[in-house]
Amino acid sequence: MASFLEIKNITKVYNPRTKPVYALNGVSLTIQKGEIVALLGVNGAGKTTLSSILATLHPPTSGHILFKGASIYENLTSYRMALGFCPQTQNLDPFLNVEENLLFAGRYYLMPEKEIIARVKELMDLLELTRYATFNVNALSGGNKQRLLIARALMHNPELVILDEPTVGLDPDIRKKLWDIIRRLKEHGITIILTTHYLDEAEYLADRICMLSHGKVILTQAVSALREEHKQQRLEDIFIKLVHEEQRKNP
Amino acid sequence: MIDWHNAQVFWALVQRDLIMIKKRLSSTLLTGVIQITTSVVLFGRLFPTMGVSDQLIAPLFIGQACFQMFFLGNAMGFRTIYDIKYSRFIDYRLTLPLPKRWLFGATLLYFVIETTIITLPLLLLGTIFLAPQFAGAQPNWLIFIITYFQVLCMYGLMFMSLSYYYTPEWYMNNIFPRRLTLLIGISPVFYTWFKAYAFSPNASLIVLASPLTYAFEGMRVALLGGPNYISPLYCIPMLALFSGVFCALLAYGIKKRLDPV
Repeated sequence: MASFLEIKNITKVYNPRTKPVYALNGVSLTIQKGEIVALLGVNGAGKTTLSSILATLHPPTSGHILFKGASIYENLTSYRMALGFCPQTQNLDPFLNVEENLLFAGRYYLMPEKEIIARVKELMDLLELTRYATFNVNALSGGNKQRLLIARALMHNPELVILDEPTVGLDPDIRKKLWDIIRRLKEHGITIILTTHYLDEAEYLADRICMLSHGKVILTQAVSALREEHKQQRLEDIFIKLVHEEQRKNP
Repeated sequence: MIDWHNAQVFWALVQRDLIMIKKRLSSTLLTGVIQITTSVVLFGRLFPTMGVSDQLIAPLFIGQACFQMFFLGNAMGFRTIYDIKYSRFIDYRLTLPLPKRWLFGATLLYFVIETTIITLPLLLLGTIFLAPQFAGAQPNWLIFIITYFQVLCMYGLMFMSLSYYYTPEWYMNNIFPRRLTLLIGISPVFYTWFKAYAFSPNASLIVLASPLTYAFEGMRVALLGGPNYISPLYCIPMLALFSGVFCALLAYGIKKRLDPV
């Protein structure tokens, strides 16, 4: 049976003719349905480039991405219909209020109007946005904008959700609430690719860790197996150790 | 054949734009009222007292109305530049289940609708309020409708394409004050092309190189008729040609700046 998502030897090169910069260099990764995979790495490791490619924002220079066994570029529309993307930038529709942002997120994905209304209510309740329904998005705090971004990504019941640093810059209590929401998504069978800088976040949420360095995958492993193998209790210690090792190899 | 799925998503984008237009309607109408009032006072009252002949007022008024369309295009272009650099709402739209040509088509349609709300009443009410100055005009309404929407599309494509090549800072400090002002300078906003030709045949060739020339002259010939303006037989194809050029520049700019799928 085909994997849910297969990333095969993805390369992304910027300035290929003048000064080639390899943002991704032969990245391969297989993700199973219902998994939460955390993409970890230092700044410039290629996490956001990979999540942008998976979100179909940019094409890879080479390589293949297979969704349920077929290339995503063969039927881009159906892949996009199955995908929810929560980007790093809080790029909400500035001309619409909270409720309208969600209503249109449903309409863009051709949900029936009745279903849209029910889903908007459900997500606003889940993400505690109900009392801000008529607020313009510019009037929201950073935390509430982030919740709305997540709600927007979930609006059309996607099978795959890409969360690019969803809790960056948020207060610890809001982060914790968002973690619980992300965990609940997993319970509903949604596959999640999570890009993060926070090791505690990856440790709390992810089934597997994919560590990137200089555009390459240096490790893909289950968190528990990783702890066992490295005889360390905390993911943070393992991460620091691996980064140092990688820096020694590729100074 | 039109893909039904794409048409439905496109319609959702248009619905969103219509909500935006509705929310901004009072502001848009206010802009229109201010423009109509100032134009009527300026062209109908002030200019005649300064000795400007009635024959000149109608083409000047049309040139000015067309210039307003240009400025609205500039405002749209600047909003796009700002979004690309800072807000990145475009990223969300690029991940929607819709091919990008439909997406940018929706942006162009939004510009056309909003600019029509402001400038079409300006032009039509202007011809009524300035009836003495428009006496003797032989408007061809079919040519007018074709030219009007061609001009809007050309402006829309022109400013959309510019927005993918420059940063907001560069646009404000260099593109607008130097290049666009120069383009306006060589375009017949406050004169007609035949007057430029009578003044200097060589200089009139430079005027022909500006896409705005065909916008101004095309609108004049459609609303006023007569032999004093460039024929619609030239204006309409030239507007289509420049729209094609800007469309190609837009496609290249999008590819270069956004690198979309």
